[in-house]
Amino acid sequence: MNIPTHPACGMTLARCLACCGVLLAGGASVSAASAAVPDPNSFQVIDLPSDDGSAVLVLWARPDNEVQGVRYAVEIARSATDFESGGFKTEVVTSSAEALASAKPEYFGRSSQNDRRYFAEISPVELFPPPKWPKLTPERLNELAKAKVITQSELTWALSAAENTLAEDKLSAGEKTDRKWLEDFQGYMEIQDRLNELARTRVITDAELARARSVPWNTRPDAELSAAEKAKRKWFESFVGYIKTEDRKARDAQTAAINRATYYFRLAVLDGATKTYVERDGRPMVVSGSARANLFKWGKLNNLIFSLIFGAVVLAFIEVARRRPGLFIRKIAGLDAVDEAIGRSTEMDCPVFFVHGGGSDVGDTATIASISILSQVARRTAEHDSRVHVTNIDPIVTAVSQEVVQQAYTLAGRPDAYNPDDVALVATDQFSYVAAVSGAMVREQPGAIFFMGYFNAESLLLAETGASTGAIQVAGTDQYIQLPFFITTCDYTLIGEELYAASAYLSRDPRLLGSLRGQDVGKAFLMITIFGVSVAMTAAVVVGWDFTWLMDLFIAR
Amino acid sequence: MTRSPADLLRLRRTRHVIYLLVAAVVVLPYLFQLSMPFKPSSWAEKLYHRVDSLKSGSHVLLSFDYDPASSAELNPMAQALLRHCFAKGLVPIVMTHWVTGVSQVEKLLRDTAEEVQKQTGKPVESGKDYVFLGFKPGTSNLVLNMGENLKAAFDKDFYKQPTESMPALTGVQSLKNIDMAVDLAAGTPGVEMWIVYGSDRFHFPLGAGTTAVQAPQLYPFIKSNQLVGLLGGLRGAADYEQLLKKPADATRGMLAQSWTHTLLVILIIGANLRLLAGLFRRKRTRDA
Amino acid sequence: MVYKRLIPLLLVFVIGLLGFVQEFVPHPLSGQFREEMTMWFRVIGGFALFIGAYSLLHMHVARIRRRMAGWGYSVFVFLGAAVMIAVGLHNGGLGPLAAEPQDRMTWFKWGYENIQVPCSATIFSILAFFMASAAFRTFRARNVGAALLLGAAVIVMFGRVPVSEAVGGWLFGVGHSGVFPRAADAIMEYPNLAAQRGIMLGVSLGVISQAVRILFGIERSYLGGSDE
Repeated sequence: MNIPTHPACGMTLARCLACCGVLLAGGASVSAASAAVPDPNSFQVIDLPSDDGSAVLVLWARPDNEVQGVRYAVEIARSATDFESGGFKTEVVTSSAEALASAKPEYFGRSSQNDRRYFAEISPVELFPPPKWPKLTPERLNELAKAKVITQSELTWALSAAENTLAEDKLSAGEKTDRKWLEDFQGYMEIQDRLNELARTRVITDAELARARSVPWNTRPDAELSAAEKAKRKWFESFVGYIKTEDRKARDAQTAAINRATYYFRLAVLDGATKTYVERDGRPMVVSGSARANLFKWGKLNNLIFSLIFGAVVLAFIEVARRRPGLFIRKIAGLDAVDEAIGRSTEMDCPVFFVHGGGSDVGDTATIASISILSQVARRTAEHDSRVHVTNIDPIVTAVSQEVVQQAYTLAGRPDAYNPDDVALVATDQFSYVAAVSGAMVREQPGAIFFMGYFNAESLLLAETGASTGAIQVAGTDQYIQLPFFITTCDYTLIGEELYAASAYLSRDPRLLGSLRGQDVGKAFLMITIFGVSVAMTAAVVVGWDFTWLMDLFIAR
Repeated sequence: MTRSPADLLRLRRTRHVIYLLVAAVVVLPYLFQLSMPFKPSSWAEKLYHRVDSLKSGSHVLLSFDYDPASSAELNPMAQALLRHCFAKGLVPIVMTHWVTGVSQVEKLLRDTAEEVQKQTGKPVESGKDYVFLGFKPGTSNLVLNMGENLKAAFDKDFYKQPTESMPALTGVQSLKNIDMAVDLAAGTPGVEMWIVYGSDRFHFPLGAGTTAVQAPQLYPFIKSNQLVGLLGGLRGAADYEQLLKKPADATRGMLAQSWTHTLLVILIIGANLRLLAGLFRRKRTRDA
Repeated sequence: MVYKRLIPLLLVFVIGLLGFVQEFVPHPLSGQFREEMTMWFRVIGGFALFIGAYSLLHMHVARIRRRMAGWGYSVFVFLGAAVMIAVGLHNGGLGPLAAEPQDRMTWFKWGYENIQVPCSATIFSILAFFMASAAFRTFRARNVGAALLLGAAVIVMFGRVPVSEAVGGWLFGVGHSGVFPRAADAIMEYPNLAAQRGIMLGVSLGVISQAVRILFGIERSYLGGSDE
């Protein structure tokens, strides 16, 4: 039978169809893959914004006919030539919503383009960590046994442990002991091997070098050692601790250097077994980039602007108040009651108690506010010729309170009446403080009690004990979870910011009153903003507008 | 408000009666070993389900930031969390920011591990099934250091074992590698610190447990999804025990708490009825 | 005088400003500055403990000498301090320079766990009694505001305990046993949280305003003495 052949390739029809079919299929596969490769112009590496220089971002555009479930391989090398030798690391990114730039508005903003861009966050130090000191090889262990650094039986344990690569949970008790021994010995030898280098780089002195060399390796328990051997072991332990601290510093420096270096990147599409590189000029495209420590967290710009504006408003009103004294401030009943309370105590010949909070810390603004109030209370008490007993839980607050009260008595013309034992540290533990202060209240029966500052669970205990003595109680705290306890047990309570207004209110200093007016302006701004944004977001839901940009104005990242 | 000596005496007597009644309703339920069913709160359920959704071998950081004074409320929570972790094959990494709480946390961890070991017959070992890092000063700085390199922040655990090659910490280089964290706190440093310096920076899910008084302080964080769940006080601990189906100290405490609250409500209503009766009497006298 | 006023104020301004700026700078130097300041704060706090200890002991010596009311308790302060210092120095036989042994009980640990801890727990537990007496004394419906407070407190207190589900089921039917807990949750999640947020905003502004005043030396009471 004469089977017709194709005039161009001489193949039979069947073979021709089969061959062309393969070519077509192959061509379709190639063209599909090449169509799914990202645009080379979109492949770039940038520094991760607003960070400490520990990462870079690799970006590329999503291809138009991307195959679902495709993965991308980002290859990272220390130099362009490392790609040839295979000395590179690979990060695989699966195509998903989380891998799109739109998932990280804090890095890329809210552009509509972000739905069409993928990113990979690469931390160089995680891929190329600083080198560790090499572990002891069997050859080295044999040398150390020959040099009598370790005994023969110790060599046997070490060799069996070094050869045993089973996971920890598969080891017998004996094997675990051997492995632990080897790890400890490796730590000892690492220090010994590095002693010369440590002395050369002046991490340790020559005397410390000699002393460290003289410490032998032994695992005998402390009870079997002589006093001299125990002292040597103890010194070596603290020496190792010092070296590890220096190592950590060196490691931090190495980490910074690794992160700062320039790295080279390639991008490939992984489609099943196929790996197709993003190419330029017929070769896999290589892009370089490096991480830089940034100087500003752009995600917190809104915070900074608000803080500066608010600070400027406060300062402006302080200036206004200085020029026009007599600013109006509404009545705060708790502060108006200070004179009444102190006067009552004087009439009853009872002391005044000023109780700092159990969470007092001089770094806390509530404590500083309470100290401001203390200076006013102490001055008025001195003027009334009465006694103020200040209880403290923090030593620094005690020292500050002593200064404040002493000065108050001096300004009132009664320096002789100041008794340092009246302003003392009572206890440093929360409930010891409660017990001591409660006991003092019950014994001394004060006429007035002021609870000012940062309070925790002791608030109700102290206030209820004070109530049982019949004293007038004025409390002030910014801890809103303790406010209900004070409100139910005290005669007057300063709620939240009234504590911070107290020093301005009591002193009537125009500058302090001006700052209160500035605070009020800030509050008005917040109220208007909350109302306005709530209306806008509600309208957005009803009408279908996108007000995400409005939310972003107020979110700090 | 000034009070006469007679007023003060009357108040003192009333107080003593109230104290006796409260003592009675707290003690009696424990004597009679009664119990009462209840439905766990939604926030406790959220925390439970989040922990329950973790796969075996996942790492859960548990920061027990409280001292013995708050252990009555927080120890039951801690124990329930540990039991849950061991039951699911999770690896708890336990630490504390409060130096006064170290020994009680260590004891709790050890006792719970021994209990699980007895129940299951399988060993539960430090360094392998759990890690106790202990205490280190630094609060927020420590959290930031752990976020960069946990093993450098704690190069040894509480039992002086090196963390670098510890099997329980395999795959955990920093806080970025943990699967979840739960902070049980009685004050500061506490949950807010973990939110600001931990979960917001290093993006791991964070749950919280706190005393009942402080729980309202954390409601804004639940609403803003910065916390995945919250256990508030003894009730929160009881809720978790209920979900775990292992009633313990917290569940036993629920009856005492129920009776105490009921007593308070009765006293308050009684006092107000008396006030109303007094008002009516005065009104009637005036009208007359 | 310069050293008493100007130098502290300058220090406050410079360190305060650096602390503020540090929050916005991600550079590693910023983190190092923060760590350094934290360490200095701990060191200064350690020294301040001596001042506090001296103040405490001096106060109690004066009480004992003058036989003031409750001077017997002051004797216990010294007794307790002496015993704990002695056992602390003994440190399970290892002396004061060694770390506390973790594998056994020392007298110091025993004292802390069996005396200090139960005493703290006892004081803390008084809270339950005080809360009852405070609630009884204060929750009276004298006016509309007090009545609202009373109603909210009763619903939240009752709704938080399991017995409310039993009572709710009995009052409203089995399917509605969660009425009280849901009402309690609603009060805590809506009006309470709204008020809390309002107070929180006000406090935050107060803190910023106070910080500005301290930074610029307008508020000087923490230095001791007058603001002149």
